[in-house]
Amino acid sequence: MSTIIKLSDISKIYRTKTIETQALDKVNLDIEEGEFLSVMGPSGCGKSTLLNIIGLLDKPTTGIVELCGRPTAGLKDKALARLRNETLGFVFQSFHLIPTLSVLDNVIVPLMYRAGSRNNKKLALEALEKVELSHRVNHMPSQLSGGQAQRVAIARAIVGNPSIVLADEPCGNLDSRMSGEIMDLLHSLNREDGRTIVMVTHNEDQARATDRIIHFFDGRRVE
Amino acid sequence: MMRQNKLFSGIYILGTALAIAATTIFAIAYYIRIAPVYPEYQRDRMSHIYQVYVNDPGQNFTSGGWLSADAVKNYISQLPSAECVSASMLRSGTSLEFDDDRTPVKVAVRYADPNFFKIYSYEFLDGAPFTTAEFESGAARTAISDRMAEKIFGTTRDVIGRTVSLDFKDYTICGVFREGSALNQSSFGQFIAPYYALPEMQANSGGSLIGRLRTVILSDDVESLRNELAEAGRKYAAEHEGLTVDFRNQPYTDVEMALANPSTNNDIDWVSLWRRNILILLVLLIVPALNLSGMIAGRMDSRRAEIGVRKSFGGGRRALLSQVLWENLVLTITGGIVGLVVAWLLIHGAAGWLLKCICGSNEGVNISAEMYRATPDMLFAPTVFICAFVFCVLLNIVSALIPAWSVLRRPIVNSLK
Repeated sequence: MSTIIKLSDISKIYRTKTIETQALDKVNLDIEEGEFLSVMGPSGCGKSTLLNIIGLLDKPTTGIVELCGRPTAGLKDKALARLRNETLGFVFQSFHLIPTLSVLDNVIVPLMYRAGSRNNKKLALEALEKVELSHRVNHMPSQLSGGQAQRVAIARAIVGNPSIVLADEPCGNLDSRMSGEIMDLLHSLNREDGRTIVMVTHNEDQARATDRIIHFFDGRRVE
Repeated sequence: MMRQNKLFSGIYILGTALAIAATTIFAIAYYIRIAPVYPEYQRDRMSHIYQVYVNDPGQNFTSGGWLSADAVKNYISQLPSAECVSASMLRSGTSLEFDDDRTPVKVAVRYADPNFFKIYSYEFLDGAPFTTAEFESGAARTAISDRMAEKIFGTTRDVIGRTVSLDFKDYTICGVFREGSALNQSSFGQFIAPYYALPEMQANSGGSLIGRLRTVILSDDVESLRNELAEAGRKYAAEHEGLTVDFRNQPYTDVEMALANPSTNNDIDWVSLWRRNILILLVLLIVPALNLSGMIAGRMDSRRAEIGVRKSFGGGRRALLSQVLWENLVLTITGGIVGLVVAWLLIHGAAGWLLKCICGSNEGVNISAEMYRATPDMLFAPTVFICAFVFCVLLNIVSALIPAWSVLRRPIVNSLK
């Protein structure tokens, strides 16, 4: 297996006029292709910041991020957007479905920004079938349960066939039964499709079921 | 988006419609005054003598006014660059009496010469204009508009040879023409009769330049006309010792007359004119743009998370900006169409007070509001449509660009919070 995500000496400092907060402090991390990694730690320790930096949603103050062997520093907005579109899929704790779009249209969103993309509807239907929501394609997000909404979010994350899925507390807003369903889904994406999954979680049981766990405290990786 | 955000879309469309309606009315008012519309199809070649000023230093007195028939005949018609010269006057308070017990009504009668019909392309449905011989002899002949013929006789057919009583004088109808709009300031009339049919016009003007006739000249060379007219003024002054004549750089082109509305004592102030019109346009553009911009800013803020999600999944700033602008353009164009319809309905239904307010009075005489109707070729003009469309696009860009760009510039993580 090859390294698909490589973080070298990543630091992130948030600055306001009066306060400086170190969210990450010289973090080094290699994640192998096809690995299912859990990130754990108390609130405010930098887990989500780490995920945002891996997902190119935020830039590190210092350090180097490499995705699929490619350094991302210095890339322009357009190139970053393309890399996110082709390589990464996101699952958020609060689902972040677009309330004015149907389930199907929500899943199509990543394909809208892919050059030369065809069969968008067919691909979206396939992704919804994978998460067992083919019967809800025309529903609006407000008509879904939490578990269904998160499954739509997962369908959206995988519709573009990204090699990496980043999940920020994907079960944080779900009850235990729905959490179980979502975790099963993520595991199947990892095992059957070979996708690399990085998941932030507070749940030790869920973390233990993954290939590797890393812990964070005060912006630093602790073993 | 319109179905999903009915309230926002409805208010946005309404706001845009009002702005577009106001702009369209403004554009139509200008279009009517400067575009080739019935029967003033030769506006690009027409120029007007509005006033002549005669100064008598001996009596320390300056008088100004329209031209006399003698002045038109002896000086204006002789200008080498004038292809065709016509003089006319409008009387809006002429009393039309009926044979039966109907109450007399006030009508607009234009007293003109035969050249009037060479410059203004009136369409004759029956008969013909009065002849030169009839004009010269002061015969009581008149052409009548189709609407007026319908009103008096109930038909436009078989009215040739019948008589109408105008200010207690019988006129024989020689032709029926399709009526224009009182918005056509230099050509409108419900009756068009020879001005020599008026006793006061037959009287000798005593050599005075000043009279009652509005003069229009057909020519391709206005600059030469101006020089020639100034020279004619000097010639007149030389023949009348002690007088000075000032035509103040006339004749004015049709556009100058229409837009600048020159007043009795002042030359056209182009700077003020442009300043006023640009100010009106800016107010029409910026005020609704600011309102719509505020609405869009609020709407964009509520879409912050959506923008964050779209950016997360590969939406670049330009792609998202273009998406927001397109969405807005759909709303703006919908509002634009509603605005156009509102403007057309307003002008069609309330042309009287609306267009009279915007376009001003006709030759300084009082014309009833019902005559200020907008004909179809005035309303459905491609130029007006293009102006409204361009205005829609400008409004969209001005109102949506800044709030959209401001939200799109935010870091993704902030949008997702």
